[in-house]
Formats: sequence, C-alpha cells, structure tokens
Amino acid sequence: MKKIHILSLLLIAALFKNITAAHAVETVQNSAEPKLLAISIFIAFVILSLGITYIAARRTKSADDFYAGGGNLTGFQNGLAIAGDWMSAATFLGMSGLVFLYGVDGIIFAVGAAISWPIVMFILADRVRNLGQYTYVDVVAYRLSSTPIHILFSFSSLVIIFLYMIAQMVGAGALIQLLFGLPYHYAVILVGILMTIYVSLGGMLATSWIQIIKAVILLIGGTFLVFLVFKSFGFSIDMMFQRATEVSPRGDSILNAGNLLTDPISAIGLALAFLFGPAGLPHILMRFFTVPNSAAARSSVSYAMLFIGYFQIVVFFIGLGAISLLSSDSGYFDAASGIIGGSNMTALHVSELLGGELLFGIVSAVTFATILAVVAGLTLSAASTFSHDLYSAVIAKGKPNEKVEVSISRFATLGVGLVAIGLGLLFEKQNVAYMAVLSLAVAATVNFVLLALSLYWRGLTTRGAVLGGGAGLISAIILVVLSKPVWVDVFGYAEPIYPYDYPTLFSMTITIIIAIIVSITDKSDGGAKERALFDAQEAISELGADKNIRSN
Amino acid sequence: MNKMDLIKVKRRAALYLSAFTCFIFIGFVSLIAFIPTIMSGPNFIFSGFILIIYNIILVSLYGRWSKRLYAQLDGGIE
Repeated sequence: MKKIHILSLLLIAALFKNITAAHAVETVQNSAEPKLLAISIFIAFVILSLGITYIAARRTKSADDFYAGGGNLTGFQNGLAIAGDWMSAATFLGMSGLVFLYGVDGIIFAVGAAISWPIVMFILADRVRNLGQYTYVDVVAYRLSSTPIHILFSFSSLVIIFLYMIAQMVGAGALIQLLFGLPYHYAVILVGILMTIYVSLGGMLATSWIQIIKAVILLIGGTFLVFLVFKSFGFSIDMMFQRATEVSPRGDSILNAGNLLTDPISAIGLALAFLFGPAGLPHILMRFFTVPNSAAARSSVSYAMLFIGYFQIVVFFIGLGAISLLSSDSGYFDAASGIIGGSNMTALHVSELLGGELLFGIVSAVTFATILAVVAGLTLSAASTFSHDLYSAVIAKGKPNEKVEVSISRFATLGVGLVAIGLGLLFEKQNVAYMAVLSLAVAATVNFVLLALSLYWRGLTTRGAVLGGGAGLISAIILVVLSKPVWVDVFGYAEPIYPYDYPTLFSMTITIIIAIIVSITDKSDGGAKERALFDAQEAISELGADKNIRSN
Repeated sequence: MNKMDLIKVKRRAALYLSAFTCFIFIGFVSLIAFIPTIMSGPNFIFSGFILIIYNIILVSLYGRWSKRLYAQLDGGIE
C-alpha cells in the first residue's frame, strides 16, 4: 500500500509539473496575470488537509477506526461533519448557480436541501444507530436474510455514490479550470488522486476531521461573502431585488416563480427526491456510526440541521446577489454570453468581484477542500460497500479477516477513484446541483423506502425487499439514462425518451408497490420467521439493547 | 412509562411529524410549480426561509422531547 501512496504522490508531482507548464503557456497566450495569491492559499489548504489525513492515518488501526472513526465523535462534532458532507459542491456551487440562472425558483433547492433532516431525525437516527455496525445495510439485514440484502444494497449504493460523485468531480474540474486556467481533465485527475490518498490513508477519522474543519471555514467564509453582498446593496434587500430585475436578461420574471419547473411530474419527483433522498445517502447514514450512542446521533442531526439551514439561506442570497452583481459586468461572460466557467462558478465570481484575489483564493480553496472531503466520504462509502457489504457479509458470511477487509477497502478506493475520474470527464457540462438530485432520486427509491419499511412495517420480507428494491433500482437507472442529461447531453440524441427531469415519482412507486405485494404474498417459512423477529428488532432499535436476534 | 409505551409514542410521533413535513414541502413545491402567480417572488423566498427555520426548530424540539422521554423510562435503558 505504501508503494501505491508513493506512486500517487509522484503522479501528483508530475501533474503539477504539467499544470505549471500548461499554465505558463496559457498565461503567455492570454497575457493574463496568474492569480498567485489565490493559488498559494489553495495549495496551503490542500497541504493542511493532507497533514490532517496523515495524523489520522497514524490513529487508524482497526476496521472500526477505518469505517466509523472509532465511534467516538461527539454530537456537535458529528453534526458539523454531517453538515460538511451535505455542504458539497452541489450545495454551494450548484445552488448559487441555479439561483443565478432561475431566480426565485432556486428557493426550492434551498428549502429542499434542508427538508429531509427532520425525516432523518424522526424516522432513522435512533434506529439506524442502534441496529447498525458500520453501514446502514446492516440495519435492513438485521431481521432479513443477509446475503441477498447486502448484494442488492451494494448495487444501489454504488449507483447513488457514483451519481453523487459526478456532481463533485464536475465542480472540482470547473473550479481548477477557473483558478489555474487549466484544461478541465487535469483537475479531474488531480481530484481523483488526492481523494484516493485521503481515504486509503486516513479512513473515516481523516474524512470526519476534514469535514469538520471545512464546515467551520465554509460557514464563516459564506457568512463573510453574504455580508459583502448585502453591503454592496447598502444592506437593502429591496435594492437587491430591484437591481436584479433591471440587469437580468430575464427582466422582471427573475423575481417571479415558475421559471424552473415546467411540469407536475418533475415537480413532485423533485420534491420526493429532496424529502427522502438524503435519508438514503450511504455516506450520510454512515455518520450515525461515528458517535457512541443514539442520543449523540439525535444531537448530531439537530446540529447538522442548524448549520445546513443557515448555510442554505446564505447560499441563496449569494446566488441572488450574483444576478445583480455579475449580470451587468461583461467581464464575467464569454463570447457565447455564458458565464465564464459555467453557472457552477457563480459564487466564485462573486467572491472575486467583492473580495478581490484574497477572498477568491480562500473561497476557491475551501470549495476545493469541500469537494475533496465529500468525494473522500463517498469513496469511503463505496469502499465499505465492497469490503464490508460484499466481502464481509456475503463472501466471508459475517466472519471476515479484519486485515483482509481493510485491505479490500483500500484497494477498492483505487478502483473507485478511477471510475470517478472517468465520470467527471464524461459529464463536464452538467449543473452539479441537478446531478446531485438524480442521486437523491435513486437513494429515495431504494435505500430510503426499504430502510423505512424494514424499520416500521412488520410485513416486509427478504423476498419483497429484494424484488421491490431491484425493480425500483432498475427502473430508476433506466429512467435516468433515458432522460436529458444522459440521453441528450452524453449520448448526443436530439430528444430524451423520458421527458421528465427526475424519475422519483415512478421509481419510488414501483419499489413500494412491488415490495408490499411480494411481502404480503410471501408464505415461506423464512418470511414468517422474519415477521416474527420484528418486535424484538423494534425494541432493540429504540432501546439499544444487545444485538443477538439476527436471523442468520 | 414502560418500554412498550415509549416505543409506541415515539413511533407515532415520528410518523405523524414526518407526514406533516412531507405535506408542507410538497405543498410548497406545488404552489411554485403549478400556481406561481399566487404570491410574489419575494413572498415565496420569505416562505421558504420560514420553512427552513421551522425545520430547525422542529428538529431541536424533537431532540429535547426524545431526551425527556428516555429520562421518564422506568429503570432507564440497559
């Protein structure tokens, strides 16, 4: 493994050499001044986060350390880490870009990103913490048959993680492109290598601490940026609104609702994805195992909700301010009248406009650290899917060799890194908030529905869960592929076959109906045994007693 | 309060509160998507912020209530 890390560092060095050369060429061609201050701050952040990873790596000795950070974070620390996971490229870059493009309708994304946390708190926090060990799949498999459940959830987790990762990789690529003036693919490769080092070295402990530090810096940075936005309008919201209607190409309609959602099915699909998607995200659910008990899990969600809610309001105003500040400045638009770097770069342009190179450097660095940390969390989650859900639960039948398990996880990290780089290159032009919502749609379809049914409905059996979840997952994947972002933007067809933006309304319905019908008609002995275990599971999930009722 | 009471009360609270939260958000999205002229843009923004603050308060209150509920449990939690 040491050789792999040395190889990774050599690759980064080679990449930076190319970056410097490419940047020199770019600078000569454009006669532009390099943003040296911004680049210095940026590199300092990357070195700092690698330092944290190194320290965490020295404290990561067991599988429990690697997956759950030893389970010793406090509610406040874990709340910050959950908020850090959620305040990703999609939230910061994507949402400010959507508000810039669509105005008032961006409020759906601001509220949507905060709306799932009460559901996480009410339905999942206690029960997931008390029933699971390293991953949420342990919870569903508690009274259901372990092998088929772990196989189904491995597939759904990987689909969700990779869709969510696209958003982060695209955001990182656009950011580096803007900061260094480099080709997009360099940035994507750089992020891929760095995240591999983070995760394979430090595991959950490193990822958690980077998330905590990053969340604090992002909250402070966002607050300062929104303060500058308000200051530029004399702290008058009315003036901000008035100026937006004067300079926006959409005119008065930028302050009217109805620009973004054009059909009822997409609207309801989006609402369902926001409501239930975060409650099915593997890297968020993993966070409940980094605290010692269910009280700390509840406390984590309370703190996370506070930080996330505040941040959503801040980012919304940054996007709204950007309409007025950037639309009238032709320096931020390219020849095709699009904003330079795409709509995902809106918040960074605002930081440069209001705070100069220093603030631009800080915001870029924090954003990059954000992306790295979120991608690292996703990678860790994907790696644990391979090592814990597939190797430990399926291949080793619950009796794994711990060293082999951690080794599989670390090698899986390398594979996931390569796939992430490929996806980042493929989906270059997508809005990152939109891509993130697609992953929420799949998470809501399979993970949330089956988690909720297994915890609250006695009747769910393995057969119902596998057939319902499988049908929902397949339908969600097919609908995503047939929708515009893949069918038109990647495959190049003129019209999408699935005309709506999100698959959730159909795919969630398919999962629920099939899971219920198959479970009710399941007359097998195994099904009866699983139903009989429900009361004991419910008692343990609420009261946290010992975990000795597993069905197999 | 015994353990069965706690489980029943918590399950009921969790399901009702979740259903209420879903109802409010789906209503909010439906208004923006289907009847965008029902109120002005700034009022939609203001309503959205109220919803976010409502979520923060609701989650915090539920956390405190749960803590008190467990404290009332006869014999504590083993």
